[in-house]
Amino acid sequence: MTHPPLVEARNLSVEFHMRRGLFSRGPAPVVQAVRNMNLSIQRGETLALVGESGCGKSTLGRAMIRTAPIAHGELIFDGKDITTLAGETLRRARSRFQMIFQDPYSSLNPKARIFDTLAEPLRVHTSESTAQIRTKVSEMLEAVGLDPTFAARYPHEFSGGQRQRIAIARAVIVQPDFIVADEPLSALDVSMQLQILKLFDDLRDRFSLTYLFISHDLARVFSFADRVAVMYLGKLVEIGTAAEITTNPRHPYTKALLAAAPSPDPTIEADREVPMLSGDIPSPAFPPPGCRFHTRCPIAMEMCKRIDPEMTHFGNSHMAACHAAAPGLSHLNTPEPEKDLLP
Amino acid sequence: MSVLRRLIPGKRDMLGTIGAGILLFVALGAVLAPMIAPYDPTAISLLDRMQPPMWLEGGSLAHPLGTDNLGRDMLSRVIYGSRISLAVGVAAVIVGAAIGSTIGIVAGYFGGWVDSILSVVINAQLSFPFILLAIFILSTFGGGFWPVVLVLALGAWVNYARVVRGTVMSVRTQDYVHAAISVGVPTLRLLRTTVLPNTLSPIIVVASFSMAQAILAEAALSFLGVGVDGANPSWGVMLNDGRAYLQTAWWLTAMPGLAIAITVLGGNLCGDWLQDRFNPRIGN
Amino acid sequence: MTAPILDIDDLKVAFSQGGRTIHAVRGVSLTLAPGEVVGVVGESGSGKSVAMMSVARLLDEKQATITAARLDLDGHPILGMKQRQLEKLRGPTVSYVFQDPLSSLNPVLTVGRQISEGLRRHRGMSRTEAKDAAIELLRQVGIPAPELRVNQHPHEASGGMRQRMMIAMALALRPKLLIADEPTTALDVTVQADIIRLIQQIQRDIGMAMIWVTHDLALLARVAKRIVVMYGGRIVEDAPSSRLYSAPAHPYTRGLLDSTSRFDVSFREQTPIPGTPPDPSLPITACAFAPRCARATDICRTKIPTLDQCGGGQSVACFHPLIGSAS
Repeated sequence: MTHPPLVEARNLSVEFHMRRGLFSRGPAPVVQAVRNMNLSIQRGETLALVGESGCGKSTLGRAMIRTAPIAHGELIFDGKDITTLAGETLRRARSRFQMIFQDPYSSLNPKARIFDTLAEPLRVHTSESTAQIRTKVSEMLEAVGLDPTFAARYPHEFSGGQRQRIAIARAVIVQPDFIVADEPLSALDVSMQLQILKLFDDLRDRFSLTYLFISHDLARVFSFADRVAVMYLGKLVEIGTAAEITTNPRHPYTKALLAAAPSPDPTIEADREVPMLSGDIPSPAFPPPGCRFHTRCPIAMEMCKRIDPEMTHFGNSHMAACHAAAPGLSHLNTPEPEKDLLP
Repeated sequence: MSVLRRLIPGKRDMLGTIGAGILLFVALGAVLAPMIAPYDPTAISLLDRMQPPMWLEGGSLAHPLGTDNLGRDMLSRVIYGSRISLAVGVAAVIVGAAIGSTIGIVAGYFGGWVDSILSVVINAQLSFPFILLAIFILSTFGGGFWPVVLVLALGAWVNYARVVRGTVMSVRTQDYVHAAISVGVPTLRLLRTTVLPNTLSPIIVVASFSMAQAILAEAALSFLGVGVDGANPSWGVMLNDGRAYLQTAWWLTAMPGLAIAITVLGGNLCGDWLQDRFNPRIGN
Repeated sequence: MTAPILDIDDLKVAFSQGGRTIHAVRGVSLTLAPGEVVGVVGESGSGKSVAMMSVARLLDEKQATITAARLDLDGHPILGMKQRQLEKLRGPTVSYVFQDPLSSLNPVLTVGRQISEGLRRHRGMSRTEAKDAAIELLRQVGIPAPELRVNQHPHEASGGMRQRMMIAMALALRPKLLIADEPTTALDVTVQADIIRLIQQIQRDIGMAMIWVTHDLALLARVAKRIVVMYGGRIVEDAPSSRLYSAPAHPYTRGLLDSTSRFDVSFREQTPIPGTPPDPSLPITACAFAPRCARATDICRTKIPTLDQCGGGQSVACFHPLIGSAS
């Protein structure tokens, strides 16, 4: 990759301080929602970030647009370190990175007309006249497939899919470079999900956008993304091109995610074996030692309980963090036959 | 299992309408007083003094609610009295709501030490007997319209601050607030355009209740002699004036007392109804 | 032929809301044999949840008006029944599992208390007997250390655990019919598979009939032998799953199938259903799907299609079905 990335997280950690219990002693527990994250996104690229609830994917997304507190590490945006940007400079920089939220029922101000919701970003970032803003709002509504006359209405008059279109319009109207979309499909019905995904695809080309697309549904987003990153309990466990991840997954968690997705075909479903992960996801406040996945991992080894695996390269920018998958370490899992001593 | 929350039953709506109707009726009376009051409320006519209401023996149609110890027409005095009582109520509500909501928004939105300090102040204020404080202030610095309004606002702002603080704390966790922040809306603007409009409903509910409370408190203060004095008496002043004649001419206190009771009832009914209306309902 | 466990004929449910009338269910007929597993699929607003909640009269009847030519649960006419009689049916005859276990469980009571309540009331068990039974149920639904869990409150458990508790509660009285309304939607994908397997296994063990309500057709492929598709408060297709997935008759079913997320098809090759679902407050005088349908003609915009057989146990409410002839 010759171009510098548009967004880059370097050893990024996000921590939350929990409230101490009324009668408990000792310091308040600290939750590392995101731990030592290294992630870079190229201009024009779409990176899908998948994982289950509590894995820290939303927190990472918020940190990457500077709305979650960064505890350690750096965040580079378009060549500039924006980790410690604050006050008015940060506020002005915000027009370049935007966020789209999961629940379109809570992400739109119920007391504001659609026009005001869409005009607000323009008013605070540009000095355009009311007439210019009006034109832009109309154009934007059309761009997201809505009637420009909807501007005069309130959010409660719209369906979930329409609201999500409005939320998307609000994010795109300031012409940002980078958009974090936090589960923008999961609150929608199946038929709406595809409609909205197609809208994201359309806008990506029209406004040359870069997406961090957060989802728990790998099947829905793999074909939409250039690369896929898989997170588990605050850490990246695997990253690679969408094709690599879906056809040649290395991490047992990625494999489980792929296998868990049902197929709309009873004949396939009748004999499909769903590999079961034991138990639930542990609390991010008390992650297991060693590899964080070992408590649910079907192929966990002794060392997984002690040593946290490093990211290992598998070629083509495909990386995974698993002792069992790492090529050099496989002998720890299954004893390999003695190597020939012949030269 | 509350799956589909019930809507407001019709009875509540009716009571609310009655409450709003009462308030509207009283407000109209206050505004139109010069047109509808049969007499000048301050016109003394010693010949007609202490006439009972028309339905009692000795009463006449000329003075439907009777006259007071100086022969002034009670009906006219009750109608004019509503002007002061309502004006005090409305002004106290506006001043109290402005102070209380601002403080509540700041405390609820910023949290942290700002919130801690304000919470201490709110709790201290709530634990202090308000009427004593009011008497102390008014008797030290003197009564009058504005002093009474300010003292009542001083008593009422905590109600707004408490409710608004709580509402803002939940509003600020909503995604539309996060969205506004990530869009780059400056904080003050955010509070004004996004947070405040979503806090308005509870403010209106509190205003409705505290309007009734202010009218009551004004009456109490005036009755104790530290309230609003002036040519046009408030209902509270009338209560005080009539106190000496409770045995001989009960209507001197009963008429303004009834007016207060009805108005307060109207405010409370209205507040109850608004509270139900604005309660978040689970949509389908 | 055995008597059906559930027999619904022309069920209609309307809500009055701020002067408007919401027609959530506009005439649903459905018969379920004992032990049968049916999937009910539809978008939000299709009336699927409301229709299913009418079965045990769980809707708030201050707002909801339920009418039906017949609404029989295990031979008992449900409409017109007194609350006390209904309570006898809820639990042993019909039981529910909802999407959000946290709002369905009582936060101030221990898990054991909530599970044993039904056992004590309907089975006359003693406190200790009921608690032992609750522990056994928790064990059956795969909760580790049930002896400890039984004394805990719902908030002490994770989402997956809570849903298991909810299932244990629903199954405590071995109901003849279980209605599961999006039981796995709030769960993570890897936990979801586990819960589905659990419900399926228990269904087979008890031999109970089951209605599985969801918006995701892909999920039903594994669990249901027969699928009912709802749109605009009506059933638009009713078919064995062996037919429905391979040869859907209704264009809406086709659209739903084309919209499901899957690994073997790129989103670029998928065609979404255009437009938005119908407004439930408006009267329907034609095919509700016509405005979003590519096959719609004049008749679709003027007449309401009826649900008719089109062979192979498949019924469809469409003037231009994708297969066979529904004339």
